[in-house]
Amino acid sequence: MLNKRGFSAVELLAAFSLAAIMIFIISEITIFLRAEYNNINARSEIALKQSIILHKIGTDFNNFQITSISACGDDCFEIDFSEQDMKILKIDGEENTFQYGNYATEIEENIVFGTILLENETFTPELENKIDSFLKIEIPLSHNYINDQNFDIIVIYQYDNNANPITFIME
Amino acid sequence: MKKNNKKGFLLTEAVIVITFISVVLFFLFSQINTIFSLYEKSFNYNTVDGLYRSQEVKTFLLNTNFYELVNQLQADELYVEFSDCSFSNVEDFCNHLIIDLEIEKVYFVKEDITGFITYVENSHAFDELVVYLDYINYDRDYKGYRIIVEFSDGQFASINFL
Repeated sequence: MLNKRGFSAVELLAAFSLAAIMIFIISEITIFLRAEYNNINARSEIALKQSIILHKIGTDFNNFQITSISACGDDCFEIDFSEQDMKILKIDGEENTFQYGNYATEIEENIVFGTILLENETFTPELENKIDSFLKIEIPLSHNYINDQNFDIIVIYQYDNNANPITFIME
Repeated sequence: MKKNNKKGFLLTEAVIVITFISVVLFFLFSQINTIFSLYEKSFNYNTVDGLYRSQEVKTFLLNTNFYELVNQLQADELYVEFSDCSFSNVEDFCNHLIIDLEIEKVYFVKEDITGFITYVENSHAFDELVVYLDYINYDRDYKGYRIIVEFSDGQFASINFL
């Protein structure tokens, strides 16, 4: 009777083995899910930041003509447009902020902005009254937790250098 | 009978428990896998960044050789891949633009990409593109054109010419 109520050693061993395997698998899944959650969260955060900045700058570049670009310090540029007010593009390392026009945002922990790169190229035009130049503004953007993906903001402005040249004042 | 019952506990019950757990884990895995693959698509397909860069290619085409591409497409029928810029009369400009926008391939196709999808599925040379083409919401009845852009970081984006 006593034997019938209790468990045999083999039964206990089998039960504990199954439990151990289950605990191992579930803990592995939990660790994996937690890492993935953090990764997705970080990617969403930086992708959102990238999209907002790209939209702000891209809208102006697609709708207005740039007349001049002047340096206003480290990582700071004043961009003049023909049909709207001048806008400042600036990364403030001390205040930890990014600014473009009236949009300003605090740079969150783990998000890293690099130095703003400006590149202007003019090519020999083979067609009259057509675009022959483009201005590229690249803002390196990365997240400390994400190493395998590039979030750099690249904005291109294509223009006709003969009809609408841009004046660069970089001193 | 008693002996038989004890053996039954170990074999039958253990098999039932293991089977049940396996089914639960398999179901869990497939659900998680689906969620992560959807997340991957949202990070790689038609992102704001990808669409913006595609828009720059579209602007370039509209300002230069759009109609030459249309003629070429009508001759070749399914697609024109022009990342080498050989079609362009401002080849240098085009090459720099493609490099600066970090573009790997650009396919100029008709808006109705049904034929292009069939071709790509049968050719077995565009593994990632096949998956992306399923993601594009295109208009079968519209007679316009579309560019499909593959970026060097694995992103895809597509934009049409209305």
